[in-house]
Amino acid sequence: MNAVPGTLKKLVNDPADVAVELVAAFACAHPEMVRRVAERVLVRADQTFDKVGIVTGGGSGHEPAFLGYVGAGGADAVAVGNIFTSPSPDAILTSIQHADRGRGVLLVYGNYSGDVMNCRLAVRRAAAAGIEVRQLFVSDDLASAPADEPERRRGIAGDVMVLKIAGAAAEAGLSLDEVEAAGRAANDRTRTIGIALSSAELPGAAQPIFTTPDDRMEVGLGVHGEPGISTEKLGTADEVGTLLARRLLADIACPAGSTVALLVNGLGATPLLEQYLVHRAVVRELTGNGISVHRSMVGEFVTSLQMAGLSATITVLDDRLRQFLDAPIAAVAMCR
Amino acid sequence: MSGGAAVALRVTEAGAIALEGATEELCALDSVAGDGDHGFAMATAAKAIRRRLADDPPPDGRGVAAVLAAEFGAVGGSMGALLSVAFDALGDEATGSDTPLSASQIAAYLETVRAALTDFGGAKVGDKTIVDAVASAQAAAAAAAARGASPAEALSAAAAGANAGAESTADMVARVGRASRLGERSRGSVDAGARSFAVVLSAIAQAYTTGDRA
Repeated sequence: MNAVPGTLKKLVNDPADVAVELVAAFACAHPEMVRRVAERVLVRADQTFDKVGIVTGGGSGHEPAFLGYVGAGGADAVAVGNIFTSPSPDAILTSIQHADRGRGVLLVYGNYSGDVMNCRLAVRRAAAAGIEVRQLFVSDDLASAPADEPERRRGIAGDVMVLKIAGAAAEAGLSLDEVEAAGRAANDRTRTIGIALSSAELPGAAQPIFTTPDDRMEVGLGVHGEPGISTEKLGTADEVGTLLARRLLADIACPAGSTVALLVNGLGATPLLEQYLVHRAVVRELTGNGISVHRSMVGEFVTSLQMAGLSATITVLDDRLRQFLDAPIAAVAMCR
Repeated sequence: MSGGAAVALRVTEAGAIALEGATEELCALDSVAGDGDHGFAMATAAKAIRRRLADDPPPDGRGVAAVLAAEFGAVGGSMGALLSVAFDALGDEATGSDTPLSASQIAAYLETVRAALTDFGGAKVGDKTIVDAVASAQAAAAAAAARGASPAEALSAAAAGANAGAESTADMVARVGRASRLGERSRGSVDAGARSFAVVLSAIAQAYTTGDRA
């Protein structure tokens, strides 16, 4: 396929090869950080001690997720699927084998049926090879299912919080049980809600996945360009920030006096300027409710190709989670 | 190569060609409630399957099923995993593929696929997934077998059943998979996975019947 149909100009080669090309290109750009060990698998470039392995992955189209989180204090290996498509069992198994240092492996993936099923097949084969793997499926997207059905909720930008915290716990030399517990605590205490102003468009596709009228926004978007759960009148940055904060606080126990980490995540086409304006409005609403923001992250962490819009994520911290969140990390998408 | 393998190769190739031909339709259906790439994924798998079957034709039906399981698995995604598991199960059952195909055998194969999809993926009839098309095809094939139909008649009945099952998903609300986040907004369009199964089974029925007459 040479011609690329669709309404947007794209810089790709063969649309069918973008994921495999991405893995090679990312390794080409960041040899100090990652090493390519298979067509769709990257591992940490530095030597690691005998720690619990952290593996992540998912579809491509979410850059810098997930390969941008490979590094010290982050993931040990990542498997990369086609655009918005979970990687295959083969790729996931390869990532697990490379991350295994004999102390077990924690798999951190978003809670999507495709990821869950492919991980299950890979873990079955890893277990047969004698590797102990625990699976943690991030489920921060509060719009994806009601609060009483958390097992049906999907993972979006909260992946970053959970991966950071689990990665820090593993880097601290903790056991598989402890690393898993830290990751689960982070997931339980993390929520995300987002809005979309326009859809993503896949390379090679004839049209965008959905269209939104000029004066509307999709609330509760999916991070794969799926339409949101409702459309509402487009608000100002302040109105959107307030709306996002209120939806978050309505869904999670976060009483006055709580401390949170706040992540405002651009989806790909919304400028950082707008992200900062919305971030400030979220902070105002949180502090107005007696909640203090320990750390903010603003920028593109889990994108959806060129979707316009953003999401807000909070993690309600305790001392331990705060310590893991503040710990050093040296990955392409996060360095501190 | 056994006679069973020749039939398996012929109908698989026909199914793969049909799947590639339906790329745009399947992507359009998927974009209603998903990310619009279902057709690309199926075409990628279909292309790889055709290449492997042409380069290195397996000696029996079990070998054909193994190629299908591997190549669907390689594309990733939920459909990749589901179809990989389903063809693995089919391969386990296809050991005696040299016995002539019967209508009841077709119904049994479809039941194996349905059970594998439900066991592994958790979707049941009415959840707006590929299972609706498979279950409807299976019921039609079983009914055809019960009235003494030929294999070709059973396959045609199964294809019609698959189409009816796929169409029935238009009135359903997705309960599993990525589309389920949309709730009521998923109503009104046919599920892309169900549609692809109907496309493939129709092509298989046609190819089998054509070859049967030849």
